[in-house]
Amino acid sequence: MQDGGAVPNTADGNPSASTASGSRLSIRGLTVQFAMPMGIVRAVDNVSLDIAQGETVGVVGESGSGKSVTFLSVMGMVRQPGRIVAGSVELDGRDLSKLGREELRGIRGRDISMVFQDPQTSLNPVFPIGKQIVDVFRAHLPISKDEARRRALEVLDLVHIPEAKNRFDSFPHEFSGGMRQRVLIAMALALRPRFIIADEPTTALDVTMQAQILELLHELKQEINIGLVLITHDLGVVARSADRVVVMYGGKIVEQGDVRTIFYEPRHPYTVSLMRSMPRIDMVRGERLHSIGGSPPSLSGLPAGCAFHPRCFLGAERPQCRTETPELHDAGRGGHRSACHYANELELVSTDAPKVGEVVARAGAQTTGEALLEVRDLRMHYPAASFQVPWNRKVVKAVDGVSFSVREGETLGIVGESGCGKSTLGRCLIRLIEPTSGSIAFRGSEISHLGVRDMRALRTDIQMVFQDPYASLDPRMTVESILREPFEAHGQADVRTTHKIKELMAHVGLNPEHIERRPHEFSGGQRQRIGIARALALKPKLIILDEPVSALDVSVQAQIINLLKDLQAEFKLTYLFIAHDLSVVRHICDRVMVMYLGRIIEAGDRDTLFADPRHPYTKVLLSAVPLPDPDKERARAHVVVPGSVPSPINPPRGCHFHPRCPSAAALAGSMPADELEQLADGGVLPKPCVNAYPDIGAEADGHVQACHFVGVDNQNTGTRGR
Amino acid sequence: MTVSLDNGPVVAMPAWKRWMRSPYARHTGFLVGAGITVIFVFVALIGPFIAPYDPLATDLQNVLQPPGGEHLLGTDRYGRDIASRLLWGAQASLFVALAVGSLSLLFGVILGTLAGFVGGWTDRIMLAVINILLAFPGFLLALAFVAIRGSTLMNVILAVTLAYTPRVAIVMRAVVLNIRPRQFIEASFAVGVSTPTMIWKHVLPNCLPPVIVVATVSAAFAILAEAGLSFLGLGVQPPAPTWGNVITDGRPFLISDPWISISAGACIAVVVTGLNLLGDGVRDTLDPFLRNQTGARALK
Repeated sequence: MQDGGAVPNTADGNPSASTASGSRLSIRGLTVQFAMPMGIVRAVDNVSLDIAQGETVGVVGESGSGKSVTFLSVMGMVRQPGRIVAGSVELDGRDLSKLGREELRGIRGRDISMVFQDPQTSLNPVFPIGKQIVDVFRAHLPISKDEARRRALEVLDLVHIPEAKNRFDSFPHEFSGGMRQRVLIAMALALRPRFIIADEPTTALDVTMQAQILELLHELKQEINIGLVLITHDLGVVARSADRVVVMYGGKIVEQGDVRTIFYEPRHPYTVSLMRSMPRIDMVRGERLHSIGGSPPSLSGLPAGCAFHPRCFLGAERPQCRTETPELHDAGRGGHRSACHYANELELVSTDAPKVGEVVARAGAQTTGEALLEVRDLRMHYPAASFQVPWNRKVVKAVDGVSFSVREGETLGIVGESGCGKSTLGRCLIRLIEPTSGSIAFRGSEISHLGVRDMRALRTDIQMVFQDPYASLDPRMTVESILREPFEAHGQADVRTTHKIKELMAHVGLNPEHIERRPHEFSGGQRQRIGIARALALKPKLIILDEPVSALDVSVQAQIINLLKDLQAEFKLTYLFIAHDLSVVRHICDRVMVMYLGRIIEAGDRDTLFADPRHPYTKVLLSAVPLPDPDKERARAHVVVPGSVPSPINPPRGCHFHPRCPSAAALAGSMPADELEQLADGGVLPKPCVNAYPDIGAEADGHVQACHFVGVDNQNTGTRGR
Repeated sequence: MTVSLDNGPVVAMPAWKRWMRSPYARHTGFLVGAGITVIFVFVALIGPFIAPYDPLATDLQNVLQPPGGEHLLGTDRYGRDIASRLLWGAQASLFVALAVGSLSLLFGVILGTLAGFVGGWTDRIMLAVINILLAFPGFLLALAFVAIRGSTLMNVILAVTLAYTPRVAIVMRAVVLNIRPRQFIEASFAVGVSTPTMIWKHVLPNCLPPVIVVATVSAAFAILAEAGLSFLGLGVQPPAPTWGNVITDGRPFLISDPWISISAGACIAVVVTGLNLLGDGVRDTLDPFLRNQTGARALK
């Protein structure tokens, strides 16, 4: 670690000494309003902030906190019905909000540029990426095509696009998500701007991709001295990359300070709650997460006084919090500012920082229970396209020979990056899609060949909760008809059904009086509660949870996780928890399976697996998740693997992970030549890795993994610190 | 960024007030179209009772009278009162429009749902047949059908239905394909809902808005087609009073006495425009896909 937290700040929050020579972007009293049919919505309220060249400012907030709008305003990109009604944005003393459209266009991209969240839609799909970068140059500089091309290649090299020359004329769809994000960063960097605003740059990416991009941004910041604004909801990302942190809530800044102060001595109850409600990968926080009640307020109906007071553990009952809007005031050393009336009281409150190695007793986890579900050699192959010539059929092996069992009463986690087949596996188990081969036994009886009728009957025992609470509820139905459906489908609807529905709603924390409402009248978290109630209706034994919290805000996520745990204890449920977020899995699961390209590569008891990962891929995954703890995060070694998850249509032969495996590469250096295999790209790897898929071994403690060389390589994996 | 716009508690208010706040009340096209359609239906229903003359009664003393005077819209070459013929003719037009609209909706929805939901070879074969039918101009198809089967009102209806069912079916299929992979459909399957229930309770209600729009357009087309067929002598046979027949009656006198054809043509034009406006209005306000983009969930 180097500069984290060491930037000296003046009293008004401006870093001074270290960056006095560079440019400065100052936001002063910025207020942005949207004229909506239901009235004026103030999305950004009196926000003041300074960003100096060479520093990284993390802007944290949940949906509707105004974090994106603030910086769209800086770029002059807030569109109707939005309008900047007060305040200024100054770049080295020049007020950008007063500039005309043409002048502003000259500044965008040249002095300040932006990287957006979704690399899938931010590039124009009909032009080669090279041309799109050349266009950036030609829009701002009077240079020739050849010169622009030369410079474009330079920036592509800068963001480490391999073989940039050959890929210059490739189209966006020929790149993976992570590579596209690199191209976007290259575009943002093209004119060597002094500031880059990155709006959730890694949210749409897998963790290994996220690690690569964060590494890249960090490198660039040092190499070319840019001021980086990192807008994110992920405290881990902030802990890893930011020098200073700004926390936003309800359109206002509620706390700002340098990264260590914010993480270790927060002085705003929202920040404190946010930190406590995040599950962490490096420890178990006891049975329940701290959760913030309610959900982030809508900007059209902000509570009076302090916007956070209805959810606050300090101020909920205090009259001052309800009536008086707190202003930012100094709350400690080095420009630390908080907008809380009672910030001083927080000196005594810890962020629940755990002791390392703390062992928390697990209640109710019966990992020795009977096997409820037994899966043997399950395969799900489907054609890669609907019309294919018979001599060249391509098959997607989404799930490719998976065996495991789920024991009664436990929570089994399935983790992996996108494309690893975890969701397909979940859908196969409940037979929403028909598996190609393999057996699934539920309580000892085979269910993979049941007819439609028997399978429907079985759905009283196995249920599913879906990822997207917005898409999984029919927008035209009321809560009552949504929850009545399971009863009707199984002929159980009678006069008591309405009563049962109300009971269900109360169980999942919904107000039974809202039974006549439709999904759009609920917040995301409440909708997910409806989805959970639907799954619970028939009193199932096993619930498959497909990314149930990944679409939710951090504070709401904790509520849902707690709810799931409570329901499990109350109804003796067994969960199959599919997720990509390893921290959540660590918190909620008893056992964990890691999947890569359709196969299980490691499985074991949660604590063993997280403490002692054996497969190189698991190690990579674990090290890629940023910890919401700046000191720890910056001190630990990160294994950054190259490339992205290959396509499951043509997975690499042998061990699927060998082209990216840091252990195999390290191992190759110490092996005799006759045990090595020459690869097409010139590299050498141990023969078994390239030629044979490793069997998943069996070990006494139930911790199994599929690597040829596990244990051999622990000392010389290609880890490197930052 | 995402601003969540919660509507807050739903306040009870009288039905008319709620209607005044609904998007329909603000859509001019919808209001005009609905107004025209309501007047058309009303006139068609009471037309025979308010018509001043018998539409078939000839009066050779008063042929080719100009509008005004005793005959509001004048008379044709047999002295028949044009206003009365148009009032009676509205009934035929309404009947054809209703019949074609509902029949093409019924068949189109069944075929489209089958193709979209069953998929596979069923879908491919049905799609091929639908595409072949679509390749013929609708009017030509109706013309051929009537030419073979003979020109009665029933055959005109069947002919236009045949021409318009594929249009409804292909829209229905497209919407079903859009709805089917949605997570709420999957979620209902997961709780054990059977396929027929699924189609009835989830797929149809979510698919109908765009399909109803196509059906209104096909009803409008039916009025045009009936008039066209009558004009060519293949529709309802004269001397029955239909708008198409009135235009035909006026054809020899287009130069000297244009009001005969013009009054009938104007009726057709106004009603067809009205139905199209109504369809557009319904689509703009009812379509959940359009509404989702501007509505409650998120605004970018």
